[in-house]
Amino acid sequence: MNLENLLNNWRLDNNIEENIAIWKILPAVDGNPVPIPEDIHPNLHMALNELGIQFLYSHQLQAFKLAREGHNLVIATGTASGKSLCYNLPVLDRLLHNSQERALYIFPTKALAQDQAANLKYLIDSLQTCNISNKYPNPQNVNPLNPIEIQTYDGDTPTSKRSAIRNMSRLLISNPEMVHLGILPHHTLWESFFRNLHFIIIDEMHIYRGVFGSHFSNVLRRLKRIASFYGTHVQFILTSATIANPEELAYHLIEDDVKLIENNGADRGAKNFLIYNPPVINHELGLRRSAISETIRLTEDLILFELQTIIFCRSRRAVEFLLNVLRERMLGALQEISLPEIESENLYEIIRGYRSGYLPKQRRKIEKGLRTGEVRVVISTNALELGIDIGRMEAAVLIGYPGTIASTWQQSGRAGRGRNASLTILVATSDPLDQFFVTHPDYLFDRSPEHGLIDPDNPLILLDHIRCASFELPFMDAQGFGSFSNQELRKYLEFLEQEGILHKSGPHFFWMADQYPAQKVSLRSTSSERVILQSRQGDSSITIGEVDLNSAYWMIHPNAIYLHEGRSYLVEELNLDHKIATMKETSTDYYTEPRRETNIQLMELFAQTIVKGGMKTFGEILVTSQVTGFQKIQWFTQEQLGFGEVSLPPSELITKGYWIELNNQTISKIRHQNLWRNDPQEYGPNWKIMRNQARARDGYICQVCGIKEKEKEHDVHHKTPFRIYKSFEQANVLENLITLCPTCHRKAESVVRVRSGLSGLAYITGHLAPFFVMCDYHDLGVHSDPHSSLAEGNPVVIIYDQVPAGIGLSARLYELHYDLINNAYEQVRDCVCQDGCPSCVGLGGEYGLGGKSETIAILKELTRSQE
Amino acid sequence: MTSLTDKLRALGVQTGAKEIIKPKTRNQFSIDKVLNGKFVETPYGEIFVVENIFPIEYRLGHLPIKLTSDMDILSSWTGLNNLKLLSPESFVFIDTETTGLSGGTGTYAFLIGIGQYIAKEFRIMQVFLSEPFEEPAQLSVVDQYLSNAHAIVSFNGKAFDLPLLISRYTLHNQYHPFQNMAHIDLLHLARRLWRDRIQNRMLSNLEYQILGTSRTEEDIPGWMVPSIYFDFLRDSDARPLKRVFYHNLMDVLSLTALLNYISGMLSKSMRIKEFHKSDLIAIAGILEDIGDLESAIHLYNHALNPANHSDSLLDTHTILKATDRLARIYKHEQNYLNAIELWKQAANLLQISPCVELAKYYEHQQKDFSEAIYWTRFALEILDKKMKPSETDSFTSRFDRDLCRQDLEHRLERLSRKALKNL
Repeated sequence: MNLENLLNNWRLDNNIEENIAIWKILPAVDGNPVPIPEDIHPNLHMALNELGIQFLYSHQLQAFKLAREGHNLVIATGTASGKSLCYNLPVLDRLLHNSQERALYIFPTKALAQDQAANLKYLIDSLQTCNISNKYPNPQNVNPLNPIEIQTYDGDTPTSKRSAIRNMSRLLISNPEMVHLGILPHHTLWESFFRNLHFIIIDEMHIYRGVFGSHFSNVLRRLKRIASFYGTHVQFILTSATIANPEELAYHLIEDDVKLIENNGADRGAKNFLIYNPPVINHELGLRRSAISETIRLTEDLILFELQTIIFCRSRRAVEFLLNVLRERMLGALQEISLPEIESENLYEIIRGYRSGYLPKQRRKIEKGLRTGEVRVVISTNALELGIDIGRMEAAVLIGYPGTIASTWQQSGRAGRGRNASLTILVATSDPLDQFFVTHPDYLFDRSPEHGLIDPDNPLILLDHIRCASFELPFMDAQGFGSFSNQELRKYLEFLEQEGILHKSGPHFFWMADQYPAQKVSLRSTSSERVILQSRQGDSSITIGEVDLNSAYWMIHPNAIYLHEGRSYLVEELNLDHKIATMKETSTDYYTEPRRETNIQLMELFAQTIVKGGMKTFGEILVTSQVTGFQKIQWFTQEQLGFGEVSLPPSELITKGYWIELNNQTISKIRHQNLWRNDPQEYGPNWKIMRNQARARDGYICQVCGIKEKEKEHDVHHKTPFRIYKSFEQANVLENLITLCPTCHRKAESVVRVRSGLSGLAYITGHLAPFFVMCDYHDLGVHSDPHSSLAEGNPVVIIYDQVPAGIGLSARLYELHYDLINNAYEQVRDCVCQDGCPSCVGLGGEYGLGGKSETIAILKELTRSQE
Repeated sequence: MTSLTDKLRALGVQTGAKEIIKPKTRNQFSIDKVLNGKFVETPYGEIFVVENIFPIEYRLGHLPIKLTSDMDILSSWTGLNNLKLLSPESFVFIDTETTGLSGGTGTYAFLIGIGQYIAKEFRIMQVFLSEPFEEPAQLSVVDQYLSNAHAIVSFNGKAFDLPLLISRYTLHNQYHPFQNMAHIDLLHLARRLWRDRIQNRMLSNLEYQILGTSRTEEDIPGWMVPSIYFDFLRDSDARPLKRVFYHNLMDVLSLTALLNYISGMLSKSMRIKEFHKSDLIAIAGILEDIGDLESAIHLYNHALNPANHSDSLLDTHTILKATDRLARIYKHEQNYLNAIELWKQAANLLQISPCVELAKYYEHQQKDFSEAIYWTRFALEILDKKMKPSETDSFTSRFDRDLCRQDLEHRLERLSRKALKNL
């Protein structure tokens, strides 16, 4: 076998073998096939047979049975386990038995819905053939002329067809936006659909988390409210990637009891899962060789061993870059050796890219090439992560951790044909989460720690949907909204009445505005105030997207580099009055990191618990921040290239946050630890001279307490730490030096120490937190303050939701305090760098100190061994 | 403890856009004090209705509201065959005033005007929601008024009023009364009849242009209607609503006169001299649609004949279009003599398609290839000469012109071949 040969080669090749940090072999698993149940509708049985399906896997049968009993289900059985049959079987069975009933399938995107519709058509088509050639006696007396119409209803559906679809379609495929904008506000047109609706299928449930999920949960509240208006109670079947809380997320989405199916009964081939950690090339800075160049090296081997491979990149630009380099390199290699199957002319066809922006026709061609095997390597963004049928590869290469474990497995799942062995390589970057997996692979292979979180009761999101729901059907006095209580709802209704949007008439609150509220509500953001992004091309400019106002300050300040669909744009102007940002496409090798001055005030305290080393708190806070400048940071080396100034007004965010406060005991412990290195030799050849000059200037008197020097010379302290300067000449200037007695010096140093330890703590917890609450790094704000008003002047690290009023992330982090702290501790402790690197406490730290040892000291006080 | 309002405001929700609510003036200016109507009992409660009676001889502008013409042609054209059998009492004229124009279930009709002929009178009932919760009563009264109706007459009712009303019945779980009813949407007819002549085909403008009447200052533009109602719900001062009632009343009333006028146009006994020439062409088109080619030919000829004077002249565009239609009918009837004459007229006005028709005719009917070649060459000349193709030739873009040229050259080649063979 080619795969075995390649793996053996790698085992023997030191240049590769020693970089493979983790080599996990997931053994093949025999599935648990069970017969197709007797009581399934005979036509469906026959259609399955016609498609070559002779048996089911145990979880599919379990789903079928539980669905028949009327339970809501969430299916989280892992990639490639045949989840869609888990819902298609009960749905089709039900529709065949009840000739009037309808089902609604909701897929997270239009593209995915259309792709799944095509797949479902196979099954329906063979069902239709069975219907016509019905040889079985038909016990249920089902009208054979009542075929199951399957239709897609989305923004592309022509108006002329819509009415027919509303009336005829028994299996409707749609997406959240269409339900929100197209169906619910016009529900009277859908009367017969709602009266007969039985199943709602929600595929890829884990996508509905954070803001999108909180909106979607409210869309479902509206959907259920309308269904019950027409006398219908809906049964839900959801599918999910493996996350820590599928049941909980499903429950919060549909607000009803749900049964979890997670025992995968499908056959699985063996999988080699490798985490490849590029070698360290600069030990002091902890810099590693680039993941992309290492990927090229590995892919060359995969091509030579004729393994069909999919490579996942994190940006569209990386796709194109890799595509060009790989094609060039292979061309060179082909000139040296000749391979029977690969010729230079068709190299272009053999190695292909795939990302949004390619034409549909081109995409279909590549998908087909992958299925037939003509395309040997495809380099893709996450566009190929879900749904699209490309058959199965033999190997998957992930450049960098895709951001969630669920995505990691979905990408890895693209490799593995039936029972054949497959290979997945995760090539780690220096991102802390990538390095975290190198040391904590168990999180990947054992139980997922990722929590899909939503907060349907976020006031802003809720208000949006109460408006939409009021338009759809007036609220009555005694009603609630989903799980949102009648009492609380009343406050919102009264608020809207005050604002003149609703009118109380009898027991009803009537919509009273000449507006169509759903149109103004985007399911993917909280703020209705948005800044339009315009890309300037010569004299004209085109709109490329938008950003909500809250994020605009730090994402698109003047001179920021804004990344959009893998392209870089340089922001030229941010006009906050007209809410327009003008930018220009650029090809810089750096990105920008805003420098923010942040002030945090407490608004309301929700929960507080003493933890080891201090206190943890969860509460509502007011974050006032002002972007004052930015750093330019080089892409691959993370090197700082320079600073820029920005003048923008401050912005305010009311949100929820979780903070860790260090108690006095912890602080004094750290102060008294002998952590700092005070070796004069380190300060360069002119140190002795400068030191004496400084003492002489200060009159040999401690500049803090005023004590005069006696037998022992006073210390000389660098006001700005020595290490952040490029040369000793710059550091050792008189303006930067001050004379201090040893006691005061220790105090001064300890302040710096706590400070840099605290910023290291903020860095590592801020980077690890997304891993537990399944969000993007930018969904959370992190701030450290050595003298925080939140803790009566004690040092704190605060992690808060970037969404106004919060979306449940920091709430969960408060609960997961020790998971976060313990993992942070291990990560920093085990990092190979000397004094801070991007993988642990950050490069350089906030005050120019790595602060690694200080961070470890703090974390050691905070950790608790878990019982 | 902060209130929800404070909290939402702090989170960035824009609040307080509305001015302070005016003091309630319920008793002083309530709807029944401002308008002369009565509260009608229904199983769902009371509802306020204003009744307006017009004698059947009443005229709107120079037109009577009494239905005077037969509906034969209208029946055929709308495909509503029973129209011509219906008595005037079977028609119901509907117009609604709504809380919004965007549609969707949050929009409702707070005022529904329903006009009907009853014996020697025309009666308009205006059913008003003093409070939105009275809607079930409103709908049931409307249902009652419609119990003897068989045909609806509206202006844009197919796209707007009817779907909205049906949606309201659905919302209140009542059967709507519009099932099996014929529906004449006068907007569709107005579009068809006056597309070229009248740019603004809003009802009030048609009243002015066609019926020769205009509304008093009491009328208000339609876009103001929702906010007047919302203000009333807030302050209970019904006085501004008088203008909305007037607006609605006029809308319903002019539906009758307009239907009368249009059915008169589309009547066998119509007097040709009374109509604008472009209207005659539009009527001819409708007659063509229903297969009455003889009458259509008559009207086209009358309109195209410069000897028949009219108030205003036809523009070239309309003439060419009518010529084209008429020639097509002749061709269809194999009356080539007349068709050729029209094609030649049009060809002289530098039109390409009649040249092509002539070339076809000479090639296929007469086997006169040299004549066919002549007309093809003529067409190519026009194509060369013309910088800007006229609107009636279907090609507008460079691409279309190239296609047309290809087509002509192809034809020319074939004709030359045939001509050669015949020598």
